[in-house]
Amino acid sequence: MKGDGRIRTGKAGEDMAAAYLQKAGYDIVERNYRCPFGEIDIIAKEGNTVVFVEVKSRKSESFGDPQMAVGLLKQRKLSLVSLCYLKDRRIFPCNARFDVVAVKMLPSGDHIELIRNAFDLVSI
Amino acid sequence: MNRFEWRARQRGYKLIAGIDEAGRGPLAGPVVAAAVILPSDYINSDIKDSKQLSAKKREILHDIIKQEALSVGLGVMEVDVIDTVNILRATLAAMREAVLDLLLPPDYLLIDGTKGIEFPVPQETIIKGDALSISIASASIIAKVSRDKIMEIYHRQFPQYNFLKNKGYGTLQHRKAIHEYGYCKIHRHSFHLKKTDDCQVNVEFDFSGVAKAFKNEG
Repeated sequence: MKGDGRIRTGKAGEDMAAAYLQKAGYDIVERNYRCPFGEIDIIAKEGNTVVFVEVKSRKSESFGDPQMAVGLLKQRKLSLVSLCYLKDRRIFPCNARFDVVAVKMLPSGDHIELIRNAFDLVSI
Repeated sequence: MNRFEWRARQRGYKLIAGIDEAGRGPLAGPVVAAAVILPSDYINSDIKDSKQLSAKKREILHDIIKQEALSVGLGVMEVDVIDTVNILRATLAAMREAVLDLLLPPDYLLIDGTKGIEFPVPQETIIKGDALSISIASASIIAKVSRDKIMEIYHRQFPQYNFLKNKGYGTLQHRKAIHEYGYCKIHRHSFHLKKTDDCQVNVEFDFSGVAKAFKNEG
């Protein structure tokens, strides 16, 4: 059941991230938005700005910081999904940005970090 | 083939859609438009003016573009629309539909021809765009192949006109079939055949009238 473990970690991380964002004043609009370009974990609104949130969860520190795990290819994919979403819901043009929530689930306790405006819309 | 796209990117536009149409001229069938957004660094030397490509090559490229483009949109205006408004307005409407059909919201449009469409983003029209811009050339291939497929289906419904071969264009064989069987459901009533009807055979190749006119002038 190794594969399931990773999915469970991811899901738990997303739940924790969503709760954290809500506490921070974000309105959660949608979870796990899917389109032909891929998926976005959380879509939220902060004031007038649509925020696309990628959640990175780790159970150990051996692979480095979770926020480092959003590579350029992933950024490009998230850019496409976000545009697809804005088109789909007819809220384009609007203010939007990308945040990353890093969730570390360590034996010593959970640790959540929010990185606002983690990267820009990648040229596609 | 990339310079229009490149110039728009230099000006800060990110999602540039090329738009072209197929089927403005034929006597039957819909007018089909396509919109294509390609990745920023996209290069494919095979994609050029769709009229210069063989049908087979066009079909291969159609599949490649569908796979490699960021998004492809299609707009189809059937005969009833063409006959109610006119072919130009139906074409522009099909182009608009194609843009709306895209999964991504374009921020700049490159349109083949001379007329822009009703869509609230900056646009540039390019005469012979399908030979000058890779996005428009791609749209032209998608539109042409998609329309051919539609005509294939109509051919099964109305085999007497051989739409499979003429795609609705006014070939001699097609015009003869219209004489014999009359119009079918997908013929454009706004496109008049009267002139060719009266003069019957090959009016285009009859230069005697022109010669006479020249004589009279002299």
